[in-house]
Order: sequence, then C-alpha cells, then structure tokens
Amino acid sequence: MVLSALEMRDQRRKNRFADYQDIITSPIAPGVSILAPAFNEGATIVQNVKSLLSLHYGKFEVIVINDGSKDDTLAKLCDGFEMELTSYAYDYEIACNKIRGIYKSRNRSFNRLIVIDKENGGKADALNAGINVASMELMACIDVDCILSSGSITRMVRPFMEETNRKVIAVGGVIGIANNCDVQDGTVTKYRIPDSLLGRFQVIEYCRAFLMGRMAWTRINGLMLISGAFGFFRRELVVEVGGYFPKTVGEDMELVVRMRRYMEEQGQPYKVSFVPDPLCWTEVPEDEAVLSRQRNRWMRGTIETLQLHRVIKMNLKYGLMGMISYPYWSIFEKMAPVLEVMGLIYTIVLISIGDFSAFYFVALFVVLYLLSILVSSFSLLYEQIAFNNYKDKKDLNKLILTILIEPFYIHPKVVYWGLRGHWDFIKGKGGWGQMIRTGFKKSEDKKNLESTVNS
Amino acid sequence: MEDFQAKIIILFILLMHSSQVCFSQDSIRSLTDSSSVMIFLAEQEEVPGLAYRLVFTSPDQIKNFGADSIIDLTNNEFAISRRFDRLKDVFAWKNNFTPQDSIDSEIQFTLYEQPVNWQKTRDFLNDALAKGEISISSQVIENGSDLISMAHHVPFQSSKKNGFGFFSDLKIFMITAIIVLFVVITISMMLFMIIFKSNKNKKERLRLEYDEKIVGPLSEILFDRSREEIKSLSSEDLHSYFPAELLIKPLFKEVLIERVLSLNKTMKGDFKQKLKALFKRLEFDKLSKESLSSLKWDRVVAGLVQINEMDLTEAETEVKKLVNSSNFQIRSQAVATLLNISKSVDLSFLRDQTFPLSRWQQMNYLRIIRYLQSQKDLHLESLFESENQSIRLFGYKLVRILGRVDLVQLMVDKFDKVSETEKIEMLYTFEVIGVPVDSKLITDSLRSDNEKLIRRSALAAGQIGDESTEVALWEILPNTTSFQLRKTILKSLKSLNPTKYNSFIKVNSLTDLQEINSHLLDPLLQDV
Repeated sequence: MVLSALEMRDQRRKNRFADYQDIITSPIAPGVSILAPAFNEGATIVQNVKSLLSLHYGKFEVIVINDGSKDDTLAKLCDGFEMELTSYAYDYEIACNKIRGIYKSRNRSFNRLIVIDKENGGKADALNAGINVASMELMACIDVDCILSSGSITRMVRPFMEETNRKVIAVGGVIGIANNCDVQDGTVTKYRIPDSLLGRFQVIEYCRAFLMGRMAWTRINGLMLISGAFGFFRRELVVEVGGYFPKTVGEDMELVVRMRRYMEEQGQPYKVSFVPDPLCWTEVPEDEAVLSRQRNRWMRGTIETLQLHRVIKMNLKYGLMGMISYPYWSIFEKMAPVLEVMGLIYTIVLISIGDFSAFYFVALFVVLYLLSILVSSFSLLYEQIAFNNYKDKKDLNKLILTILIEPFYIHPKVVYWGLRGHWDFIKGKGGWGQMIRTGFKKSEDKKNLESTVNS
Repeated sequence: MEDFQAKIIILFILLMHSSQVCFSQDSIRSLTDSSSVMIFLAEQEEVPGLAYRLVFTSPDQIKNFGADSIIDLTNNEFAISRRFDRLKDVFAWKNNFTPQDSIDSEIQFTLYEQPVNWQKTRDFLNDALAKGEISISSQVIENGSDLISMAHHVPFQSSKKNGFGFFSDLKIFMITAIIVLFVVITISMMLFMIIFKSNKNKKERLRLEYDEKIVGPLSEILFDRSREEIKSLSSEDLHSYFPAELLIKPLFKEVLIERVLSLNKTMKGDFKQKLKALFKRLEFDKLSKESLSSLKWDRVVAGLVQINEMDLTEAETEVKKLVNSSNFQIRSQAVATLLNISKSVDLSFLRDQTFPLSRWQQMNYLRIIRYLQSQKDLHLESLFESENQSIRLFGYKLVRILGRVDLVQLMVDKFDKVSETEKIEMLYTFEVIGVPVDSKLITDSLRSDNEKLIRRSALAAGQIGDESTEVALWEILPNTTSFQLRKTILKSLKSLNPTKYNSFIKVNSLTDLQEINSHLLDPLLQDV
C-alpha cells in the first residue's frame, strides 16, 4: 500500500509537467506497431480497427492478425478498408502457423493498416505472426475489442523514452472496466459500476490488482505480469527471446518473465514499467460460467509460467525477480487456493479430533476478514483520490457493500475456480505437459525449442 | 488443663489488641512450645488438614452448640463443638456465649478429622513450615532483600481471580492485540484517506472559485492597460483587481500563476509582454526563484517552468546550477529553460552535461532548439565534441531533423573515429539528408561485423550510394543469412542499378529472392 502510494504520487507529479502533445509529432518519438489478434470478431472488427487507426500518434502501424476466423472477419476487413492481397515477403523469424496472405489497403487513408490472414494457432501464435511483420521499434499487443483512449500510445511510450540508466523492456497498462459505462470516441466518458455482483467484484479487483498491486511491484521493479490486452514491448528484445510461447495459456506473463530472465542472464540493467492512467477499457465477464473459465485459464497460465521458469526461484542470479517476485507469485497467487483449502481441511480435522478452539478460530477469522476489508477499502479510496472515476455515491455504496460481502460470497468461488485450474493443469489440459514440466533452463531455450520442432 | 486455658485466653487477648504482628522468615524457624503454637495458629488462616473443636465440660453449654456438634451421651460430662478451620473463629464463637474468663472449655486439635494433642499439632506445623506448605501470615516484610525466598512463602493466588486472566494467556492477548491493531490501522487509514480526499475536494472547489475571480480582472488588465501601465500599477490599483486578502493566500497565487502561464501559451505579441509584466509586478518572479531552492523536485520544476514561460533571464545563474542535477525532471527542465532564457548562444551547457540524455529530454530540447535556431546561431556542432555519447548522438539527430546540410562534412570528418553506434546515427542522417558522402564510409560499414551497422549502411547506400557501394552490396549479398537484411540489400541494389538487379533476379530461382522481388515490385508495399 505504501509502495503503490509513493509510485502513484510520483506518476501524478510527473504528469503535471509532461507535454504529451509533443510526442505525437516528434521525430524523436519511437514508432509503435499495434498488434491486434482477431478470432471471429466479424461483428465489430471494422469499428474496432477504425478506432485503432484514429489513435493520436505520429508514427504507428496497426497490424490485425486474423487467426483463422470461421466467420466473416477477413471479408469485413477487406470490404471495410479496401484491402488487397499483397506479395509480402514473409519471414518466419519467430515460428508461427502458416500465413495465408498479407493485405494492405489501396486507400491511402488506411495506409497504416496491415492485415495478416493465417491458420488458426491461438493468440500467442497470432501475435508471433504479427511480430514478424512489425517494422517499428516498439510493439503494442492489445485485444482488438479493447477500447483505447486516443492518447494511449503517447502515455505508454513515455517510460521507454525517459529512462537512461536502465533499458525499459516493457510497459504495462491498466485495463479498466467498461461494463455499463458510456463510451464516446474511444474514451469512457461516464463511469458506472456494473449491475451484477460479479461485475462489481471485478471493479474492486481492478483497484486492488492494478492500482495497488502492480504499482507497488513497479516501484521495486518486480513486476512479472503485463496484461495481454494492453502491453507495450521492445520488438527487438521480444524477437531476441523468441516471441510468445504458444503452448501456454499464460503467454502474456510467460513472455515478461522470459524477457526479464534474458536481461538478468545478460547482466543488463532493465526495468518493466507500468502506467496507471486509465487508457484502456474492456468488457469483463459478468456471467459466472465465463468468469470461471477465465480464472481457470489464469491459474493454469500462472502455474505453467512458474513451472517453466522455476530455475529462477530463490536464485540470487535473477535478483529481485528470483528472490521476491517469484516466491510471492508462487505462494500468494499460485498456491493461495490450495493453502486456503488446506486450512479449511485442517480446521475440520481439529474439530473432529476435539482439539479445536472456537475462540482462536473466530479471532483468526476476524483478523483475516479485517485485513481483506482493509486492503480492498484502501484500494477503493486510492482510486477515489488518484482518478475519482466512480463519482456516484450510490455506486460507491454498492462497491463498499461488495467489499464487505466479497470474502464470504465471491472469494470462495474464486478459490474454487483456482483449484479447478490446478486440477486441470495436473490433468495436462493445454498440452506440452512434458515441456512445461521440464521448464526453460535458460531464457533462450524457447528459440531452441522451435528449431528442434522445425528441424 | 485449666491453667493452660487461662494462659491461652490471656495471650489471645493481648494478641487481639496488638497493632502489628510480624513473623519474619527468620523469627519462626520452628515452634517449640504450646504458646508458640497457639500464637502462631491464632494469626493463621486455614491450615490445610488442621481443624479445631472446643470441648466443654459444662452441660449448660450444650444448648448453644450449632451444627456438627457431637455430644457424648455416655457420661454427659462434656460436649464437643462443631469443627472450626481457624483458631480465631473458635475464640470468636466462644465469646458469643461464655464469659471471657470462663475456663470450662478447652481446644481440641484435629488433624485430618483425627483428634490430636498439641505436641502432634506442633510437629505437624513445623513439618509444614519446613516444607513451605503453609505460609507465615505477616503484614510487614522486614527483610526486603531476600525477595525470592520470601516470595517462595507468599501464597500463590491465580491472577485470573483478580480479572487479569486475559493477559496471562499469551495467545489470546496476541490475537486480540493484532485484531485491535488492524482495526486501529484500518480506521486510521480510512480516516486519513477520507480527510485527504475531503481536503482535496475542498482545494478543487477553492481553485474553481479563485479561477472565476481571476479570469475577469485578468482580462480587464490585458485589454484595458498597456504594458507600461501594468509595470507601474500602484498597489491600490493592483488590489482593486486582485484583493489583497486573496493575494496573500498561496492557493490563490498558485491559481493565478497557472492562469497567467496558460494564457501566455495561447496568446501572442503584446499580450504576452503584458502577461510577463504583470507576473513581475505581482512579484511572482521572486516566488519562482525561491522555488529553485526547494527540497521537493516538483516545486523546483514548477519554478523552472515559470521562469521559462515568463523569460526571467535574470534567473539564468540559478538555473545553470540545476543543469547537472541528479533528479531527471529537474535537469531536463533546467536545460530546457536555459535554452530559452540564456543570453549566450551556444549549447555548451548541454554539451557539458554528464548524465545520459534520454529521448524524452531530446524531444523537449528539439522543440526549443527548432524554435530558437531561426533566431540565433546555436553552434550545434559543439555537441559533436561532447564527452557524453548521448549528447553527440543528439547532435547528429539535430543535423538530420533540422536539415543542417552545412554540418554534414563535419560528421564525415569524424566518421572513422567514432563508435559503431554513432556511425549508425550518422549514416541515418546522411541517408535522410540525401547528400552524397564519401562512399568509403558506406562500403567500410557494409563490411563490418555489426548487423545493425550493415543494415543502416545498406539503407543509406540505396539513397546516396554509388558504383563502389553497389559492388560492396553485391559482395555481401551471398553471405547474408538474415532475411530482412537481404531484403534491404536487394531494395538498395534495385535502387542503385535496376538493370543489374533485374538480371540477377531473372537468373536466380531461389524462393526467398523471388519473394523479396515480388515484395519490392508490389506498389502497395512501397513503404513497408
């Protein structure tokens, strides 16, 4: 809480003196390739790509990767933007599934747009296909259905431009919740909390995880995760480490960890930065079935990433990432559901053998409940002070109520979904179990893996 | 028996009236005679195992006996009272119904319900005292130095009886303390945040209020007064626009300064000069200079911004001191400010900067230098001599971006002596400017081991190369494994010598070469 408050304070102070308009047209500013994988997005693809093309920045390109969609995504793109198949000489610098064609528009207005049509291979594979085509210094990996504010690139590019003593290798952004909000010209103009309890819970989670958690990690340069929906990377370094690993469902976290590992192994000072400004919004699942699948996937992704890179655990060679970030993620993110259930089982055992102290149980429960409320309330108040997006008093009251009931109603479900994630991982859901069990001995092993497969 | 009883009673009376009775640890080592036994027992509370009964020989007393009396029916000569656990209770009960000097009763000792004589009682008591099983009733501790041994004889009393059981259980205490701590921290943090937010809201409201009070008078001054009039405004006139009671408030001054600066950015000509005059008349320039010595970096930077916007050239000396500040924000703004207000026309302060120059700083300085170079000769070439590589690279970029063709030759002269990173930047500059340079620079770079340098020189060759660079390109092409580099080389070759290029493609059936060729020929891919 203290670390995140300090980081937020510094960010806001810096923003006071930043002229972001300058970046838009400055020749010094780096170019950005926006990579947006699309699968069966026919209904909204044209609108989404138009909003991407209207971002306020001088030097950027938009690369939409149609990942073997079964609907009319490609047709809509071709019609909407006058796209034509080109004779692009494609280099499989990073391995990916077969590229069927690369399209450019004959209309100069859409000159920034490139469409890649490929065989289905998943999000990571699609991103790798896009990386091979990207020609700019930085690349932004986004979800095509995310809403980006017009100034998002200028804000996200700034950390890359500011640092001199360390190389900024990646910058993460906040994913705000657009459910029930008014959106105009690519920006949320009026914030409202979602109607459902699950949606409101995710608002609290957004405050906790993004505004507090990631800001604090950024302060100590221990951030191990950048959201796959909105993250900026140095293209050269991503290629150097072999791009995304398509055989894990947590490809976003896995890439960041691998990039960090690479820099540690090379002995180069670096930083993974984070911008807390509200620049990107998405619709979060309010249906329990969808949310459970999402959390299941997140847990499997976390386990897979930690398993792949377990060499760094408590390894001084990997600095703070090995000594603090990895153990933290291992205990408080990966093992948290298991530890909670073990605690429950232990309590039941104590009751059954008669060695149960009701007093201590209640006291401990009260402590943990108060801790939960403390952290959540602080994060909400933090949001109020930093951005004050949720102004409506009724909305705030609902959020406070959500904080109070979350430990009883929603958290057990989250624990259960996490456990299911563990179980599915053990069953080998997702593939490449052996590879994940073996892990990457070095960060560059991913490139060697591909050469073995391709040979 | 009777003598014995008389003595007991007299002694008891004496003891009852004594003010202090002290039995120190040393004074009672053992009881010897019946007197000492009686004296000792008279002061004690219950002695475990020892009880007392009164034996009466006079039948008249029988009717006064309470419960637990035992009456010997055989001879009707004596009666035994109920059991007493304390000797003092025996005498107190006896006094209720017999004259004090009556000698028709005697005390019977019982040990574990068995009647015993005083000798056995004495032995029992000595034994218990030696083992520490009974304590000595004392009101004054004479020997204060032997607390431990005395404490050994102090009867244990559970603290739970006195309500301190809570603290005696460590776990309960710790958990309760933790809970209380959490509650206190939670409430404190929330209170702090609520107060903070409330203050922030209040400040925002005040800002809006002050802004409304500022806009009107400021517009009046700018439109109704000339620059000279503003400079010579009296205090009364000034306070008629901005009340004195508001001008002393820091927040009002802050809002007014912000409004002046924002207007300065949008206005031109005479209005700008009026704003600067007003800024000085309000003595805000002093505030700006004072900010430079603040310990908070954001205040220093705010001061620098004000100095920059208001062209406070008299602050140049103070600003120069901040050029090499360890704080990134301060030194960035200091250099930007100095570029603007400096009377001297060279960039020596930038050249001599020791910290690496970030792209963010470069972007800011470029904006200022671009504006200034039309008015002053900035001697950009001085940056080439900097000991800081990032400054030198910035110099080469400036040549490219500002189109300073006149400085290209200087760069060419330095080319062989600089690092590969600088060569890459220089080649990029030569390529963009489009001025032909000594082809040896390009051909030598094409033969280096650094792929980035080779790529940059291949690109440059396509724009400003000649026959010798073309030859060099053909030489390195077969050994180039990188697809992207081959694409670049072929593109440059196509530009330098289309005929030879086309012939080459015709005779080469390699897939990637044909693909690259198709790519280069596709009109949609000209800028990809």
